[in-house]
Amino acid sequence: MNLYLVSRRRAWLSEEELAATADCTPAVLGIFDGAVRWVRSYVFEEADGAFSADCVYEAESVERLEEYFDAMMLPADEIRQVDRFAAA
Amino acid sequence: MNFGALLAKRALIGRDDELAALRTLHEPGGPLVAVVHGVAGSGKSALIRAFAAEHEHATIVDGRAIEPTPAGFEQAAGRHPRLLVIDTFERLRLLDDWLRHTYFPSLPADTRVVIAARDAPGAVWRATFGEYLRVIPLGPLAPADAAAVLEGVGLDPQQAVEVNRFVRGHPLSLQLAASAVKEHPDAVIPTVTQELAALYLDGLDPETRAALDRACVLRRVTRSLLPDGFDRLATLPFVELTPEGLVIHDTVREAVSALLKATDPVRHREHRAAAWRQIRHELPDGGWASIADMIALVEEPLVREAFFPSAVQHYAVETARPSDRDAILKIVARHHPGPTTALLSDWWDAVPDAFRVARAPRGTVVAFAVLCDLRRIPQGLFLRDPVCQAWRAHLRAHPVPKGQRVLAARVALAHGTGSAPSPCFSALLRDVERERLEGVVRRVYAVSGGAELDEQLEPLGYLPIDGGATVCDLGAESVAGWLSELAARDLPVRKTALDPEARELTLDGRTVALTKLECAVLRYLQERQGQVVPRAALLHDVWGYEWAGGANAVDVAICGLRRKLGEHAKRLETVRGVGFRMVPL
Repeated sequence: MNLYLVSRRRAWLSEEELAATADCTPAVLGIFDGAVRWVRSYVFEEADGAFSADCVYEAESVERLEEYFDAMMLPADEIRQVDRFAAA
Repeated sequence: MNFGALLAKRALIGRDDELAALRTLHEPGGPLVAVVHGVAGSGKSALIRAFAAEHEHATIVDGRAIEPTPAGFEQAAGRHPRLLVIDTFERLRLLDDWLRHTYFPSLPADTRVVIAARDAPGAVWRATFGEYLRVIPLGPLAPADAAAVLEGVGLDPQQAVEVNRFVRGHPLSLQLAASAVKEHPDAVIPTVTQELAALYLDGLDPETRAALDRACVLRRVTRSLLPDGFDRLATLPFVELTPEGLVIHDTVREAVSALLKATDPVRHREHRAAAWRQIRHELPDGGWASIADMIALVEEPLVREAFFPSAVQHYAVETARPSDRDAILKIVARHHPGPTTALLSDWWDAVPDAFRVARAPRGTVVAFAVLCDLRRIPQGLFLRDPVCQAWRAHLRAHPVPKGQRVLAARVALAHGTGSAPSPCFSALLRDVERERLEGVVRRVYAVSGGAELDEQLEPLGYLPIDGGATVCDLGAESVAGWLSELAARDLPVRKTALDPEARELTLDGRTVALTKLECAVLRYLQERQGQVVPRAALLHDVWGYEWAGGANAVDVAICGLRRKLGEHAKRLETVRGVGFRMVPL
């Protein structure tokens, strides 16, 4: 499994939309049968009320990850594979 | 082009870019659906009506003025509109799924649709229409355009600049501010529409102001709901006449209602109670419109949201497709491993169309519910499912009259959160609530789903019964009666009252006319409520002559009264060999 950092700018227009995404996540991940795992997301509220997020995923490949984003209808502005950790 | 179309064109200032975006609907390969969105009062209606005015054959449907059901929509829009313009779409959220799945796909290829809504279309819309959807956000007017609007309504350039410094191009605010400045030239213009509305309202005469207070608790204003104020309100600049009655601009209505609730809660409650009584009176013949009026008075959030959703729908809720079976059973296995999964598989085989699913944008099932007519559950399933047996035992002990429907809600589960409150679970519950409107539903059986679920459902009238089941009995009047009860909570509504002057009895909000004799008998018995009243005493005191025996005058009057009491007839008891006793109505 590889680790990916995914950036989404203004992907959610409202708090409800964000909640709906969180709500759908387990069911949609379920059909990927472990090939994609959502680790966590850091969410930012923009000045106009929209939401952006940087999300961490584990996935078998970037293709599988993109498949998952398509199933969620969640476009990604940038997908980067993480090379290494740095501990504080 | 007709007169109204010319006027619609004239009113539009500073929306050239948005109009041009709408015109791309007619370009080859252009969008099929355009959604104009913006906050209340941003000029959405003016824009789409101006666009409609450019067409010979535009069909305009106002979400506030139609029945939000497929039948109501089709009646207003027709089956083959050339250009369909839907205003105030937020009032039609109930139809969201039906429009996307059934109605829009059935339209001819050359039909174009323009929608005005408060919110931007959600992910489900973007998924459904893809590049065929054009989203047009409506912001404030540019300063020069705002000045043009203000000068158009009679302000001098200096005033226009000062007003726009505060309202920053918000079109409804511009209108209100301009009216306010004309009435109070020295006024300091506040920044928000609500305050502008209040400033404008200060200038109204007391009668119109009072009528507006009474009207603000209503979904729509009809002559019967507001006999004295109807004509006064009809002339106000933010009130529109629709086929359903007067509609007050949402911003103003919400502001007036909030103001009244905060400053004079007693009067706010009284207005709601008066509205309740009148709507209750009209309910039996009022059809959908009266039901909706009553729902608007209900404060219970689950019920309100079911019929008037306040947010964009993020899930498609629809009948399950055959391919959904595995996904549904997976959700069951996740939350109820063991025999329940096998049982739900039997349910699927027996009544697949009882399964309703909530889908993520690309169609993945994220939650489901099972709801159907109790009579459709086959015998075999009844024997295997202990919950069905609990329902049946209750139904045997408490039968419902012929012709009334009994619904069974077997289970509702979300993939992630089970039956705990979550957005998609709520979407399913709302769907179950809406189902009650179909046919004469008397009772809904469900399953006790743990404290969290029971807490959500208890305010709707669900009570636990034996065998881990719950029941919600809507009463003899079905949905109308149930909704009236919900709306009447916290309202100072006297459910039964005898008015001897008018010879009328108010019963469950309905007015029953009585004969002089019936009225006298009822009053006499009510004054002795709970006591046994001998025939002789009744005859002596009401009829005024000595009991001679053999006269059946009393029985005739009692019989007539019982008929008029309807389902409460039993409250007027016969005490054999003695007389009668009235128990509290």
